[in-house]
Amino acid sequence: MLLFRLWLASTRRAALGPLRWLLVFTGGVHVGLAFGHTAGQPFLSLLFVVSGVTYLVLAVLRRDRRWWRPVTGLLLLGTIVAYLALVGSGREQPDPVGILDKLAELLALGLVMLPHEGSPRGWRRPLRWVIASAASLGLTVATSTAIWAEDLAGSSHSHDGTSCAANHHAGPGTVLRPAPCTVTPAQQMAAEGLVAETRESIAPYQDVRVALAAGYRPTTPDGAGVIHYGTAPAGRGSALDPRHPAALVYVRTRHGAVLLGAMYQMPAQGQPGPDIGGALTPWHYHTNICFSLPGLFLSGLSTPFGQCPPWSVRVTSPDQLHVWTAPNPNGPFGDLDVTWARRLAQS
Amino acid sequence: MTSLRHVLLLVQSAVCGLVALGASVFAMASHSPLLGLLAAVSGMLALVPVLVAAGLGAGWGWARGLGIGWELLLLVSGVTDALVLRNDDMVAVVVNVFFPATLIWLLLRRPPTMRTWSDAVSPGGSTRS
Repeated sequence: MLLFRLWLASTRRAALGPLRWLLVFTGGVHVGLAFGHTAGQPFLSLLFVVSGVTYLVLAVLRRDRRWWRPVTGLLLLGTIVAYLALVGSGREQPDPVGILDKLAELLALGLVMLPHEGSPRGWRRPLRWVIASAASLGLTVATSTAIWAEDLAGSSHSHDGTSCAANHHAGPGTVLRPAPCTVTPAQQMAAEGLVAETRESIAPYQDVRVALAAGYRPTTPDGAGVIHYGTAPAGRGSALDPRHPAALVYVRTRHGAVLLGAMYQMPAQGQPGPDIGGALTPWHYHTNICFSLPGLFLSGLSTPFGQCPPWSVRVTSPDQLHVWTAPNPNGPFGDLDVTWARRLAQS
Repeated sequence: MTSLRHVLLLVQSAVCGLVALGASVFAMASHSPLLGLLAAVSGMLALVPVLVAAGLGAGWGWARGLGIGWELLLLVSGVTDALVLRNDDMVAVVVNVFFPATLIWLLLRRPPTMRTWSDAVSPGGSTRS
């Protein structure tokens, strides 16, 4: 019956405007998501079915009913808020389907709020237009900020194969290469060898001026004062040559830059790094780095919508592996402990 | 369609505003005046779609030209990003290619003013979304 009504509506071109299409899209997405959550989260799956079917029903109903806009608006607002609550609690990750669905719902909500033919005329119409526009703008900013915030903070919720690699977490825009879950004695020895060789090779760079003289140049520091000094590919050896690592990592302290370790990097994007220490040494790459074209400096992280600041491009980095020669609490290959780095910076 | 154009411009402005917000946070975290300047420019650019939407609503003639020019810039940038830099994930393509292309189409096919602001009946037909 529902499909028949949809077909009937589609035959009347004027009746099937963008708002109906957006409702049909989001209803379809919700019904589809219900199937994906049946096994793990049956209650959520039921909610998806209810909201999805309600959207489809609202899409085929006549819009001149007085209750249609308030009900549709409340349902759209409710599903946006529910999504943000789910994402904020870590039960869902902001994935492309979810983000596109929210965009469709925000567009639909904006259309529902704007004045229509049945709206009162006179001074109230432009006022409603302005209020609806401001609400639409504010809701989109709030929703997309919340999605991005969760995306950036969501590494603790990530399940991307991090269980095998202790002290390694895939963060927002950071992808961990799958690594075997075991560490053989040979891999343990190889990993320890790499740390020892790296420590010995980069020892002269304790003084940052030596690094600058060798051609290493600073990139933009992060919030903890950690800064990578990279070198041009021509100045590097092979991907894992301890004498010529792709970058040296320092933290800015009150007494000058302190060397934390080195970063190895594969020569080209998409090439998986060699397996050295199994689960100890998983390689990673970044998908959300913004580089400013004039000056080639790190200008930020791309938003969940894939956008960078002006004059910047989004790049995916080649595979990278950090080796910490300073006493990082997460170990020589683990994620850099930001709290520890920040303490070091303030020391 | 007029309403769709208006809402699309607002959503686009909010999405661009997020870039400015992110750039501001990054600039503050890294204490970089250069990044601060980038954040300020991002913020100003994020206001362009709102300006176009408001201009179209108020019947300002230049708003349509500004909108088409701005969307063309975004479209070229988005297509280059997707085809040359291979940043062709679904969300990026929708926001950076599909949105500007749709807005260009909407800006070209409709009269520049948004009559729903006034009591007059739109000469372009129904104002229903």
